[in-house]
Amino acid sequence: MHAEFGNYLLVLAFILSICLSVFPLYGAFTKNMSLVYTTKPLVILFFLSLLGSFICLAYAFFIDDFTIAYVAQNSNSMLPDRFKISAVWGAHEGSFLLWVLILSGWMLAVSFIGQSLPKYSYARILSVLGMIACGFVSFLLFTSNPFERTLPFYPIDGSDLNPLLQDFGLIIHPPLLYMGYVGFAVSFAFAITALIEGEWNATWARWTRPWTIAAWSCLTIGIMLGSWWAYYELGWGGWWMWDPSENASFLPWLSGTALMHSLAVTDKRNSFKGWTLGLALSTFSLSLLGTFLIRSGVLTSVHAFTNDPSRGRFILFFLGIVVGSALLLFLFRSSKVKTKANFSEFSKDMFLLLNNVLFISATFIVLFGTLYPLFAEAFGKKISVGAPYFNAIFPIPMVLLFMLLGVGPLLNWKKHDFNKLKIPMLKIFGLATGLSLIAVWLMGTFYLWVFVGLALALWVALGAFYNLTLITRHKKTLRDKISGLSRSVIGMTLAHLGIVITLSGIVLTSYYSVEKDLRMAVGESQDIAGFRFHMKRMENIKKDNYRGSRVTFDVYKDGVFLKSMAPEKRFYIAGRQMDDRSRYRLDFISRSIHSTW
Amino acid sequence: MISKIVQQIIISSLLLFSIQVIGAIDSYEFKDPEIAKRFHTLTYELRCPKCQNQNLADSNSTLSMDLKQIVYEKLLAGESDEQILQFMKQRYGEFILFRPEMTKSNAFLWTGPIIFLTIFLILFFNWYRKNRMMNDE
Repeated sequence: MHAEFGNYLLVLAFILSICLSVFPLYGAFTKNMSLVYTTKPLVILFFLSLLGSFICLAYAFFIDDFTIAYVAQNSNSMLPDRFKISAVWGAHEGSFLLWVLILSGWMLAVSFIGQSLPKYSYARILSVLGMIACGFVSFLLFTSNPFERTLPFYPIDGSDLNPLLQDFGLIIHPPLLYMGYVGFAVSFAFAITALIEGEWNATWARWTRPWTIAAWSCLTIGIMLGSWWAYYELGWGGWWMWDPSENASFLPWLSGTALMHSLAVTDKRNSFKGWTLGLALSTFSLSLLGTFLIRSGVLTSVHAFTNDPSRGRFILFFLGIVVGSALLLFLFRSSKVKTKANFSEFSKDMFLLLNNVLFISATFIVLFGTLYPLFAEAFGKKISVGAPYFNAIFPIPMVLLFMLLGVGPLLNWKKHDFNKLKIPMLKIFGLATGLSLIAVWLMGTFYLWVFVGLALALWVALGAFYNLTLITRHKKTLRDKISGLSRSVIGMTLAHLGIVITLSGIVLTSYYSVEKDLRMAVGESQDIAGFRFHMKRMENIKKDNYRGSRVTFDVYKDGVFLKSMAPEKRFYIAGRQMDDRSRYRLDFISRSIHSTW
Repeated sequence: MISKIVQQIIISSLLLFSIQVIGAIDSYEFKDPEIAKRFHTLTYELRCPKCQNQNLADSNSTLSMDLKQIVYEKLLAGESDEQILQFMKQRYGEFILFRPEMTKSNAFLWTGPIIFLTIFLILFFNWYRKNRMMNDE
């Protein structure tokens, strides 16, 4: 019953999305207010029917309804309840339902928060979102229906949820990642609306900015959680493999970062409108491209979903329509605008645009490396482009970017007197390279990239702090200084300092990680990189849905007990799958202890 | 009764399986830390030929265990990185190399990114030079 009801709601959502993509848009063109006013109720109904459908699927998991093929493939009666919920988005069909649900959530947010928008723009924006939603829902309904039955010969028990996914990190990683992916649909819809109306100006940028920043933040957290999960679950301390699925999430992130910066220029200076619009369109297109690459199975990835050519064709078709029509509209409308460069070489505008050029280059590079094996295969050559390639190439645009990042935030719009900044910048440069040299010296071994990486990180960090002192120089007390900061300055500084931490972490773990293969028995100890690992005990464990064994290590530093680590080897009974779990501990900044077996 | 038997079978097969796995894990011990480092780099840059997208270091498949053992033995026998990579390439094709070789046929792969970056920068500065309208205050 719940399966039929869920399916019915999905069909209803499909019809509602068609209505949403037609009525408000038509109403906005014919100035028919009664049609325009259907927008909000349609969005609310659309959201509710998808939510209902999602709840039906979750309920099917909860009561172990193995007459539904998707439940039978991804759950098991022994699976703990919390994983039954996350199993809803553990594979292709369910995760796409979540994807559409999240899109409808964004639409709901726009329909409520965006009520101050001009009525016709409001209708058009939600109508464009309705079209995108319509594409996704039809994809779900026609190629990947999660409610398909196994009747009449249904299995007594389900095969299991992939053990790798039975983990807290994986419960929250996909929803946040999707919120980011899909969130860029909102900036996309704003851009399309602006193109339809032929009016894009600073107001347009001001509306788009918060939505873009929200989507970007979700995507950032989503990627970070995925990385964290890979770090402790996949073993050996890897957190970024340049796997196609990771690249698929990284592409919209890079392009979205460029978009955020260029929106700032359009908002504050009312310029580069065409460029910003183009970025808004391409960021969401890259989200779609990533979806296509991962869901169609054209690229071999560790996280690949099922291999089904009909799905690939569908998304490719949808991608073609979306990108094609957006591109046509863009070329047709934006060619009239001619942008003049009314700023000098040394100005915030210039640095923000260079940021854009570098981010776009980085996007291209990652896209190129990810797709290259596909092209090569078309010419009958099977090659792999993996982490060593990206690690060698990707730093090139990034080094340039970090060099600019240390200076950019300090500059004025339009024009900045270079001589005013010369002395402080020289001081920051000296301080950054000096401190970096000391840090590398303290680490023991000199690596050029660690020195460069840390110097750049310090350069950016010191620049950011110098910027804060400049902004607050008129305030007397520290309290006034802090409370006087605008939210945009706080956000910018936090984001840039986040980059500093990321960069330092990357160079330090890449070069100073220690990895050893050792054979140990209970009671033995090993000294590795200043830490003593004592193998305390080995025990068998028995849980609801798995058996296994666990080894407990005590870690000591200079004879002082730090922490116990307990990696496990699990055997999942239902799916007959082995899974290694590693437990780690972070020991401030530079050294992370990792044990796997 | 039957469930008991099934349970017994499961547990005994589990035990059997875990013993096999433990047996399959080899520890690679090196006297020379320089060689240990090369071992890690090589197993990181070689792709497990039958896995989805994993390197030898991360993969626990029997094939990559065997390949790791080969890398280990060849390193101890004093072969160079280049020799080992060539050996692997001859056996499994270029597909096994996660770092594509810098050969003529891969020239575009390695130069492409730098070309893109240069083109984008040139286009931008060219546009800037042409459209610049700065009236000095």
